[in-house]
Amino acid sequence: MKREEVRRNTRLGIFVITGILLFLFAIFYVGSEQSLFNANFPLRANFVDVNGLQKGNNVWLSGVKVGTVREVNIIDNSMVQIEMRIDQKLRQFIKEDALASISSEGFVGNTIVVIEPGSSPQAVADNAIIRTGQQTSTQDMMNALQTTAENITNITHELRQIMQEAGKEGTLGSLLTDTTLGPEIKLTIDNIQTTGRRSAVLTSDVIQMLTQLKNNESGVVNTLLTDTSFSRTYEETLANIKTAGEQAAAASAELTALVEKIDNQKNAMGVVLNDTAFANNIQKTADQLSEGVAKFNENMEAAQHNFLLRRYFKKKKRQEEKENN
Amino acid sequence: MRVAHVYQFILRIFKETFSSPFETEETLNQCYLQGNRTLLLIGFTSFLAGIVFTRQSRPSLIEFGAESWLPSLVSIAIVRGLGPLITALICSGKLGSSMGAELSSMKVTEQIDAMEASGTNPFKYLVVTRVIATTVMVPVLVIYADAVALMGSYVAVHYYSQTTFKLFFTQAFQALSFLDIFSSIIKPVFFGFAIGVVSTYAGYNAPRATVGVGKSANRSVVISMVCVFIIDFLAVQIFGSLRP
Repeated sequence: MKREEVRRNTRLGIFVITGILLFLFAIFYVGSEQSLFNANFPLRANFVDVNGLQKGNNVWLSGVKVGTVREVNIIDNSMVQIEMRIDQKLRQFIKEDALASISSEGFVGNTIVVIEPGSSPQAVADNAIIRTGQQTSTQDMMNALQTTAENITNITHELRQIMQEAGKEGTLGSLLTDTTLGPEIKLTIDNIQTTGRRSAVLTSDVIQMLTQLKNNESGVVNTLLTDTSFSRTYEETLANIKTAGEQAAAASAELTALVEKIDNQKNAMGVVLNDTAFANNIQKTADQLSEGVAKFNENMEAAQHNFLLRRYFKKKKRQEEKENN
Repeated sequence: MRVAHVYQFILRIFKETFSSPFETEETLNQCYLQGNRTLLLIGFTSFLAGIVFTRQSRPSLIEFGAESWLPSLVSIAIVRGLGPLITALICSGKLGSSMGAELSSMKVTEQIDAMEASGTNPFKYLVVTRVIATTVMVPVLVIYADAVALMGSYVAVHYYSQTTFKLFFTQAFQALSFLDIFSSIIKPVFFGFAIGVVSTYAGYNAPRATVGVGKSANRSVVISMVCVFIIDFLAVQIFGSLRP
């Protein structure tokens, strides 16, 4: 065999063997994905509806792929039995009371079997039939979405009607259409904020004042609040005030009766206070009396200059000057 | 081409394949020429096809919010369809034309007659060895094409999504089944056989004129490609019916 030929054949051999190895690698990889080359154990579950589950679909435990579906068989009128192959190493995590359900890999993904591990101390046995539950299917979700969409349409329609009505008249309408309302509301909010700030300051001052009153142990307020013996005095004072009040009320009643009596024109005081004719008479009398006094003074002045009485007045004057000195 | 003649030609190929003497040396030589010498071309085109297919599929998947499905989509497309088809079409062009032209020129220059006169079986030496070579080497080339196209796809996916190599291939192989892998190997066997038969028939039965070389080369390529598409169509139907 020529050297060139050997070299060619060697290259050809390497080429073909590499191709075969690539092929075997692909077979092994696909097989391992389908748990063909791993030690596994069979597990069964019965469902009323498997939502299009097929052989080869994945089995998930806590979100991790742990096996594949090997068989899907209808066993009676209303029951479908599936056989799964689960990784032997994970048997310890699947308990006797584990729960299988049909789900989906995302919204448009393949159908899968989801196993919830369960809490029983005993791990599941070979070919055991585990409990099943029904998860929300895509169709259920679509139905729910459709209902929600219809509700939203109705709400939107009603809201539009309300807004149309509100836009025409009424408080809400004026709220929405009045352009001056915005600045006013803003002003009101500013005022509220200012009031709030002032209230905060005021509260702070009140707290400070209360603290001072509390700290001033000898003060009146602190005594009022803390001195228990003072309460007795306080009660007595209140009783005295009450008594004084009662007495004042009685005096007031008597005074009222007195005033009523005075107001009565039948008695002297009533006549004095209420009879206008009597008052005129008194006025006249007073005027005449005043006039009489003036005249009397004039007479007395004249008497001082009388020779009979002059001597007496001079003597009295001298005596007064003497007393003053 | 007459159907009866083609039928006899194919029958003779099978008969000569399993009867001694075996032209092992020439068969290996043809395998080297058809396999090793085509690998670079196949690898380059597959790599580009992987990148292009990924690049063009990505926007559609993004619209559905299913960009993470890109490795799965690409692996299925490449292993089930693109890889075998691209390889078969390139082999039709490169190998078919070369075989058709080579045999037809030998026919025109009466080298085939000379071989017969020298006691060599020209059918076994020229036709059977080439048909065996194409039947064996096209599937091997498809394996390379698939692998290289997936690498190209990974480059494109990694460029846009920074997906890791491990995640890409895990997702790619999760989507594949044994049937996909085996169909990717079985289909090319028929592709290779068809390319070999069509090309050698066109060359071996070329008219004894200078124009016969061009005609047979052209016929080899065109009919090979048509046969590849027909076989692919039938294979899709058959393997599709086997899928659950």
